[in-house]
Amino acid sequence: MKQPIRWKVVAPDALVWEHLGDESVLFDRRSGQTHLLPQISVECLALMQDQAMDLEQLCERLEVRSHPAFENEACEQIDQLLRTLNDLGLTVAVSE
Amino acid sequence: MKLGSISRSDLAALLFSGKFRVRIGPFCIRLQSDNVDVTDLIRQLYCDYQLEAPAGISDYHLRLSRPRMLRRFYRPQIRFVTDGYSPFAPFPVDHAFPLFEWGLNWCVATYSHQFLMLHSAVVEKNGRALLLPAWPGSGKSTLCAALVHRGWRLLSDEFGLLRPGSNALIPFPRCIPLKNESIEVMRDFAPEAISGPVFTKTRKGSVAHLKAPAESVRRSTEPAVPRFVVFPRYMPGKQADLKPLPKARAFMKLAGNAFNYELLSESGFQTVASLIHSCSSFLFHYGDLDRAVQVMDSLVE
Repeated sequence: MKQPIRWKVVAPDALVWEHLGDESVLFDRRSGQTHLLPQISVECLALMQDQAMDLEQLCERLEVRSHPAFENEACEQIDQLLRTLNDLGLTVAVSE
Repeated sequence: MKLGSISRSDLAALLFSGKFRVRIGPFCIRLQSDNVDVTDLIRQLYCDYQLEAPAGISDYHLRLSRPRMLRRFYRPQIRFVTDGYSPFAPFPVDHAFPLFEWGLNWCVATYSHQFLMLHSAVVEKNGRALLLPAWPGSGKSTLCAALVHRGWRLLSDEFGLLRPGSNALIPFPRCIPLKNESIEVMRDFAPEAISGPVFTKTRKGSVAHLKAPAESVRRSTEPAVPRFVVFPRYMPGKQADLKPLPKARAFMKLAGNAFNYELLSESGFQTVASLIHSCSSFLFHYGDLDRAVQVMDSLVE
C-alpha cells in the first residue's frame, strides 16, 4: 500500500517571521524571498517544524474536521496548501 | 554657505570647473556642467541648499557634457555622466536640467544601498511622517506637492530613505517633478509655488520642477518618525476614500515597490517590518486635491 506523503519544514532556522494580525510575512534566508501567508499556513508550518506530518495528521492537529459537512473540503484545501508550501521551497517531502 | 548667496558668475565658474559641490539631504553631490540653463535653474531651484567646500568626499560625481562631433551642432544633445559612465542615451540639449534630475535619481537608486530605499514620497506634519508609496501615474507627486504647500514638510518626493535597523526617515528634499496635467493643477492649487519652465516632449511628457520649500531644505538634517503609510491613487471624479489596509498587505506592497528591498535581504525585511509595526496603513483614492489634503491633515491632527 502506498504511504501518504509526509512533509517537513526544510530549514526552520532560515525562516524569519513577522506576525501582523490575521496574516504573517515570512522571510526565507535561503532564497531571499518574502512570502505573505494566511494564519492556516503559519499553523501548518509550525506543526511541521519539528516533525514530518502527512495530510491526515495535519488535518487532525488543525482540527479542521470539527464539522463533518466541511471535512473533505477542508482537507482538500490543506492538501493544496501543502503543495503550495512545497512549491515555495518551504517544505520538503520526507521518505522515512 | 547657501548656494543662493553666490553670484551667477561664481556659480557658473564652480560648475564649469567641476568644483561645484552641494549638500542635498544625506548626500554630497559634485556636478560639472557648462550648460547655462542648468546654471540658471540650479540657481533658481536649489538656492536654499548648502554649498560644500570644493575639496572633499562626494557621494556622486556627475557631469553634463556635450557629445563630440556632429551632435554639438546638429540637433545638439547632452550626456549625463557619472564616474565616467553614461547610463542613458543623450538627451536634447534643452532637456539638460531634467536629465540632471533623473540622473541624480538614477545614481541614488542604483548605488545608495546604505539605505533601504522605498519608492515613496515622504512628508511630515506635527512630528508624524506620512509615506506615500506609489508607482508613476498614481498622483503621488501631485498630492505630495499639494501637501507641502499646505504646511507639511517635504522629506522627499521620490525616496523614502531608512538606514537598515533604524526607524527614522531621512530627508532628501528636492524639486518635485510635476508631469502633464499636474502642472496646471498645481498652478491653480498653489499659485505662490515656484517652479521652473515646462519641458515638453520629454520621455515622461511635459515636466516642470516645483522648488522644494526653503523650510524643508533648512530642516533636511532632521529625520522624521513614520506614522502613516498611505497608498494614493488619483481617480478623476472620485470622492476621497481612505480605507485601512491590513499590515501584512501593506508590508508586501511597500517591499514590492522599494528600489533595493531584495538586495538588502534580511535587513530589508526587518526594516520594513519595523516601519509597518509603527504605522497605520491605508489605501487612498481621491479625485479632488483640496479634499485629499483635508483627509491627510485629519490623520495628523
